[in-house]
Amino acid sequence: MTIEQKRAAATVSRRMMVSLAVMAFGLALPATASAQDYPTQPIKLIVPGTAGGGMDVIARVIGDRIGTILKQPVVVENKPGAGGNIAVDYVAKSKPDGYTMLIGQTAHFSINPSLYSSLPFDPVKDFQPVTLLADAPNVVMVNAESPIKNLDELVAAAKASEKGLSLATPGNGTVSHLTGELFQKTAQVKFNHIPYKGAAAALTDVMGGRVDFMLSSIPTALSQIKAGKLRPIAVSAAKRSPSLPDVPTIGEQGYPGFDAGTWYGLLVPAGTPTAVVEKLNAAANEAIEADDIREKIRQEGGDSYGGTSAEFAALMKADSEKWSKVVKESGAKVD
Amino acid sequence: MELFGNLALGFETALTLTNLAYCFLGVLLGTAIGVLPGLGPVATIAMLLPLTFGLPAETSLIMLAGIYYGAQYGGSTTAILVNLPGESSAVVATLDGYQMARRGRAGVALATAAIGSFVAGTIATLVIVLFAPPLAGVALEFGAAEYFSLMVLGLIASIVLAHGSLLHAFGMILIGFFLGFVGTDVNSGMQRYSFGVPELGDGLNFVIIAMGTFGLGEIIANLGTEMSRDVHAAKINNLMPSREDFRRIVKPILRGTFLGSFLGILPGGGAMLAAFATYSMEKKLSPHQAEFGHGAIEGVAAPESANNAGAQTSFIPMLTLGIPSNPVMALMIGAMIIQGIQPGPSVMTEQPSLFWGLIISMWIGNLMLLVLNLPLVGIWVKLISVPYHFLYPVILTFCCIGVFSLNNSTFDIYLMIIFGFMGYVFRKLGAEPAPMLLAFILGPMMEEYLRRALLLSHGDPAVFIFSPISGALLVVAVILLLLVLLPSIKRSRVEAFQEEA
Repeated sequence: MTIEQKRAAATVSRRMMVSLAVMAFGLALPATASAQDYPTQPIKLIVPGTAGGGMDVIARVIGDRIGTILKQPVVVENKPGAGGNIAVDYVAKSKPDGYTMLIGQTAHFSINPSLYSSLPFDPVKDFQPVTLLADAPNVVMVNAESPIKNLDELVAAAKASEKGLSLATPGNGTVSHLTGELFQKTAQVKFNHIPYKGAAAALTDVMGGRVDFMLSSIPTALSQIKAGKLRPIAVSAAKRSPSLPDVPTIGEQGYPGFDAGTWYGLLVPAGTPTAVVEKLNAAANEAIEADDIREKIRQEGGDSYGGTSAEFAALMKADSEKWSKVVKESGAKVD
Repeated sequence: MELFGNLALGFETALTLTNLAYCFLGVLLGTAIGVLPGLGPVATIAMLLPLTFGLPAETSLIMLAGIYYGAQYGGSTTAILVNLPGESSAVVATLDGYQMARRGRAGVALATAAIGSFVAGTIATLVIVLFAPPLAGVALEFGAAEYFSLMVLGLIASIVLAHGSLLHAFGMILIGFFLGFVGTDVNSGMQRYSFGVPELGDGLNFVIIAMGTFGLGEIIANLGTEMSRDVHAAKINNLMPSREDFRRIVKPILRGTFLGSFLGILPGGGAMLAAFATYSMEKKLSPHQAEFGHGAIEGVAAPESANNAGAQTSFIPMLTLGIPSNPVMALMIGAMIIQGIQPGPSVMTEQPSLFWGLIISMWIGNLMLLVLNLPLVGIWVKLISVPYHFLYPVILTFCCIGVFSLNNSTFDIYLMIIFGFMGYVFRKLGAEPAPMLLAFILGPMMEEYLRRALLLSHGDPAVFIFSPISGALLVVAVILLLLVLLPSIKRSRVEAFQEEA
């Protein structure tokens, strides 16, 4: 073979390779193009709760902004029921094309899997985490007239009382309830747990002086705290909350390492193209970093946290381990 | 005078052109979704919430509030005309309202509902203006024991709702209880009667049962009696209440307004309780007792006034305490938060133009509703003369859309169909579904409050008697029970006598 022939052969093979590459690219084109052009149609954001609930407001505010950034409307769809499991299952079985997203929280991914003996979805295998959006600690509160001023006094009062102090929570198996369980174990006390259907009725009873104290997310109680009807005595997270900067954490009051909060995050079905996940991650991070959105999340009692999807996945894993232990030790079970 | 200053500020805010326009838009939309069966204010307000981001706080709340009380107006229209209560408080309107419609007095019934609602709305607005802060404290006085006793009273009152056999009424109440058990137990978190179906985990939805037993059941039953239809369509004579009618509705409207204003303040179904408590009261007080259940005008005037007054005063705990008394109020709180306003006791002092503007807008909105609805009465009444084969498919379609809109789930539509057949069977057996629906709502609440009261008292039942409010309510309940039982024993004797003759 002469040099020319070799060159020609090489050229041919190079041409072939190029054309093969073009063909391959051509085949791959629809997928890449859709990931590149994504989104070309409205995106559904599934909220596992009723319209108007705390998470719903966060979802609508953030969804609206993500829509503006991606230049496609984000349509919020409420699918309440079965502690959020119906919505989570719906997204788990949706097409992984980035047009169905879920606002999930601690309860759905880190508590329900150990609380329910069987779930129709796998919280790890069926989902691709996009990003953490916000974290909201719970707050321990008493009636403003109550003699209890701090956590030490609460524990002392609980130990001194014959029948135990009554603790109101927004419901069985909620983060607030399990935070209470975790604290009972940490502080070696026993409370008389009074579960409610949602925080509003529980608040009324604490304000009416019928229940000794209450654990709930900050937003539901914030206006009462600001009006001086309720006295916050501790927040449950590792850090103080920006909404209640003067309230010390449980950790600060003699129980170091105590950390229990509710995170809110964005998830899509497993198998969603990486490019789409990255685009959503960037848009969501941009949305929650905007000052006005940050302020709205703060009014709901949360801190906005962005981050990568890997960071979010790690947080989900750590939380699942923590809560499954609490659920097992408290003996709580549903179904 | 601070009060006049506040009112002036309220009028100033509510009477701007923008706010008037949005108020009108709200009540118009509210009436429309109220008339359409199954579509409720909760879903509508939730969908419109993002649209209010760009509006000023006052304007958006004025519009959202308009949707809420507009829906109360519209809801009774469907209840009266086609026996379809879209909301729990409209159940009572089906009892005599629909009977009036069947007797060719649909126009009078609708006009009565509109006038009663307007009067109630006006008085309730005054109540809010004068007493909102002190009344807010009342809601805090009601704990688990007090609510339980209130529910007992309500349940006994619901027996009065049934016209016909007392045994049937008891039976339907029991069925209502059983249906109410379905779902997750609040105390233990256990699933009851959900048969492993996740959709049943939160219990059955009121709207599904109401659409099924009332709407579908009625339609199936009417397929067998096509002939009777033309008769009442032809008999429509007058649209407006006569002087005699007006004389009869004055007192029921005032009593309904009073009770509605009071019960509306209590979180958790206050307006609904008010509607049927006044119905029971009127049935006892009215000189025309025999007409109840067969188209008594008092049976429309009183509960309609009560539920509108209750809807109005349910704003009190939301505005003054930041506590939502129903899902709509929870949405309003969400709307305020989005606007950067922290709902709670500070709203009145920090946002006076919002607070007073909203209250005054409610009165203006009620006036708009009256002006909007009275001329429409003639058009609505014509709906009755639409032939079945056009009307029913339309109703069925809207029932399906409405039920689907609750949870975005097709499972709910299948459930509605099952309840439709149940409703048909009940109708054939001559059993009234209204007591069942009320027991369905009250049963789970009673259980929840009973168990919570006992949890808090460490199992001591004396709380129900020694709490003054709870004790007083139970005494009234016992008296009412006696009042219910005595005449029915007497009546059954009379009936037996007539049969012999």
